Amino acid sequence: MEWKDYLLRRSAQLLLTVFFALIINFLIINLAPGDPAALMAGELATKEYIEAVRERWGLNKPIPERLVSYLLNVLQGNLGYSYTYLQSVSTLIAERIPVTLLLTLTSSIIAFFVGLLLAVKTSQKAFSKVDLFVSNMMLTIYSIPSFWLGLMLIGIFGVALRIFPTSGMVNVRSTGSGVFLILDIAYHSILPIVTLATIQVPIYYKIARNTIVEQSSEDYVSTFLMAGMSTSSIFKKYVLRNSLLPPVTVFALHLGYVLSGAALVEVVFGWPGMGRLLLSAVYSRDYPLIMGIYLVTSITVSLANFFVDILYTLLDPRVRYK
Amino acid sequence: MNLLELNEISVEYQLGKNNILALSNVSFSMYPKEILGILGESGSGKSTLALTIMRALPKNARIIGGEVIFNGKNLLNLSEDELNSIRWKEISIIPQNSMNSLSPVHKIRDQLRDILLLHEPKLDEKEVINIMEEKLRLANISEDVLDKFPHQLSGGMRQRILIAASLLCNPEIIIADEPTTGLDVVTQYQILKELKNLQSAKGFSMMIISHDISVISNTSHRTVVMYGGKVVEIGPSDSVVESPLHPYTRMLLEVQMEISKKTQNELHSRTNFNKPHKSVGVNFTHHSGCPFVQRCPFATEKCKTEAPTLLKVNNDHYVSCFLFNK
Repeated sequence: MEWKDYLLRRSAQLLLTVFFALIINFLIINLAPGDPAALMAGELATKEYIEAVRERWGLNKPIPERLVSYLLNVLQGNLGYSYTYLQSVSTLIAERIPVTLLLTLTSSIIAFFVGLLLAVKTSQKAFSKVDLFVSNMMLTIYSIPSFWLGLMLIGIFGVALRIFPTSGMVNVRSTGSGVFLILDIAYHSILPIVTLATIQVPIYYKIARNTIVEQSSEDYVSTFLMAGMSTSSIFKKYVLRNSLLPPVTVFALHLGYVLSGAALVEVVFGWPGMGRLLLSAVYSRDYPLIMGIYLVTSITVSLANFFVDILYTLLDPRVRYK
Repeated sequence: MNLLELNEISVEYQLGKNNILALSNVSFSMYPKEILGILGESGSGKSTLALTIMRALPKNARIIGGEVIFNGKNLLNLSEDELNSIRWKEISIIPQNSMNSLSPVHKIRDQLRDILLLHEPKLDEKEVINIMEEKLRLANISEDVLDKFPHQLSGGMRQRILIAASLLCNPEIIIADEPTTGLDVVTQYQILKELKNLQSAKGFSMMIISHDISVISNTSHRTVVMYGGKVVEIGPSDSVVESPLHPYTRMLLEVQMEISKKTQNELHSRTNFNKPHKSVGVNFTHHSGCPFVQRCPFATEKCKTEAPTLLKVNNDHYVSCFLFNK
């Protein structure tokens, strides 16, 4: 009963958030400089032609009117039609989502576990030389820009050693299908996934390590120690469980950025995902496409927050749904 | 026969570059079936003493000498495995009441079961539940708490669960470290009474650690008074309260209880206890002399340079003070 109420209320909140995000997105884009009609018409277009293009796409109407008609369309599931790709926005986005998720989800999961594992290892000997070394290394990695790391990996493993492809999602010369296509995509995804995972590991490492160190000196640890439990059992059964909440929360919050968060890395690796789609849409002032991507992103961010709240109530009995 | 014997225990803490002596040559014994009170203010080493016996001192602490003899074995020399078979099964502890003496994200049931199964691995689920419920009843708390998390319980209930936990394996010795601190007076009174009844019914020995002289005098058979990491007085609780020997014990009694007019006059004629003194908690570095010297109204030059030793004054009543060392 309580659960049902809670879910219902949170869902309503979610819809409201997305609705406001939608309006704000629309207004911001239309307030931004740049004339989509002029861009679409091309550099040599006459004034009359630009006007004709403007009218053709309904850009001559006042902003409030366009907002209302856009909202009505979205409500019907119609995200509009891209000026530049000449395809429906929903199709464009739907094609890119799995392509991007392959990079972002995989790398986030890898980063989460690698970070957690490193934290478990080093926190056992907190403040030792190894611990300090790993901590400092993590700080260094954390300050590396993702695109730079990507370029370096391409330089080393793609250009110099020729182990991995330098760009793209598939080998354009091969016509493989089925298993070969999957293997080809996996092969192409290794460097971008490594790049994305590497820059995320420090976040999980740092938060997990500090939580574990803090939890290890909690009173319950000494209670179980005095009860005759071995340190390793206390760690496995109690400390780890008590330390999970912060890293899991960060992971879940991070899921909000799975669609648009990897734009730079996608550009560096020529990966045909959402991030790159968004960038090209912004360059060509493709309003419907930008709006569509923003909408999907807003929904993912809100969903991730929703997910975190639910997760909290499951992981920490002290948090109650209200 | 002594059940537990502490011989010349010294423990120091490393704080930055300084070593602080928390316990200095502490010796006393615990008899079977007795309640032994450890009385002392914050920083006197009471809790360090409990943690030394359980060998659960924080990492920056070091036992620099002494032995804890239990059943003919020196607990300080045992391997971790040997020790783990004694912990809780023979000597258990009721930890200082705090929100986090139990894990906040595990149910009481799981935590008690884990502790019990450590020492009685052959029990089946039904026996485990029976034992847990029996101990909870002994601690005067309903079995319903098994399915609760610690944060859902009041301070008194949590304390009772810790008491039930300490009884799980029927130990010979239970150490109660400030068992009633932070609880309201009524709950405090009830819990102490229950502990006392449990002790006489079950016949285990109990060490009650407290800064509150009324807690100690109402429960214990014998009292150990500690000051500055040293034992300053040991004796039957009645004699300690009725005829305290050490100036520190007298001071405590003057502050907390009605004492006879005569003693009061005597004390007032000698000094004024309210005079400001240096902070007490920090001067426990390795020093010679009596730890109480800075606050003692009877201090002489000798007290500053020489440390008094425990001296038998009368039947089972010992004091460490030059006033009695003539």
